[in-house]
Amino acid sequence: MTAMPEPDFDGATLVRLGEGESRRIRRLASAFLATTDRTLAEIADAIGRCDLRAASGFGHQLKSSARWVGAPALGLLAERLEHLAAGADPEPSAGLLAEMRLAYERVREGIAEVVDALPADDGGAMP
Amino acid sequence: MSSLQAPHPQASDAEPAISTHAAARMLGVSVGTVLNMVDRGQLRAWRTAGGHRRIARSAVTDHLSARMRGQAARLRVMVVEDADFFRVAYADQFEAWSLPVDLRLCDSGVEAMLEIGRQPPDILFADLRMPEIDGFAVVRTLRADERFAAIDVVVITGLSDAEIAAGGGLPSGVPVWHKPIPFAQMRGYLDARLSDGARAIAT
Repeated sequence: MTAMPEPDFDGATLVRLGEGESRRIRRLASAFLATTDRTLAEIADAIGRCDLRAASGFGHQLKSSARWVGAPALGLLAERLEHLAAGADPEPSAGLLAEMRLAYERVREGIAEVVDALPADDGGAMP
Repeated sequence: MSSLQAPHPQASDAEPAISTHAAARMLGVSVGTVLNMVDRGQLRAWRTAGGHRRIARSAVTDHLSARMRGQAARLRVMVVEDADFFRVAYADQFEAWSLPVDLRLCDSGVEAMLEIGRQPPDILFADLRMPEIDGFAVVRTLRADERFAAIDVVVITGLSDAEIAAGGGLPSGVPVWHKPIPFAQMRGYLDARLSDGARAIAT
């Protein structure tokens, strides 16, 4: 029997984090997306430089934040990078990064759906 | 309605009084502000038979004491966290709580140590895995230095207990909370500290 795969995104988690307030949910979503865009770029840069220790550190950061906003699949991939990057070969890390980018696209779509469904009365649009 | 009382020589005989200018100097405000405070009834005042305004010294010292109590009741909280997203989350949650807390966010162990040296917080919430000076080093440094013994240190980390042990462990007595950030637990902790502070002031 195989384990159930981690879901890509659970919007209820993000809504709960923002305690149901549209302004806070938008702010958290925006911060998560901005941070993750940057973190994935930093991971790519670190792998390109064969600095796997740095890649591991970025994987650690992304692991926690992804799980926290309700993106456990991305969190699991980030955790694998965290531990994989402790080795010496950059090749598996590059493959993992490609998987993370795909997972992140699905998370981004899920977040956009949650944010689009929020009432617009107490905050601006997500950038 | 003004709280300035009519000529009242008995009052000046009964308790030490100071001039408006002296009250302003003691309180660190302008004379105009002192007069406004008198008008609002915040400072007890009267006029002498010669028409000079006098303010009860005890009213000024009481006001200063109340001001100091108000400052002391605020908790100084520092969070050291290198992930931008989590710093936003901390700032957002603290703003939503509206507690009497002065929050300082640091993005590195280096910044945290510099800030702690400048003004130690009452509570430090520290991440562990950070570049350069990491949370392990920050916590160990603080716990090895008597000057910082009064700081409550709580670790909030995405590392497992085994990973913390592999990193050399932490000084005994340092609570470890695991990410995701347990905000409910943090709120309870802050409430308890604020309650302790309020009791200490009241006694």
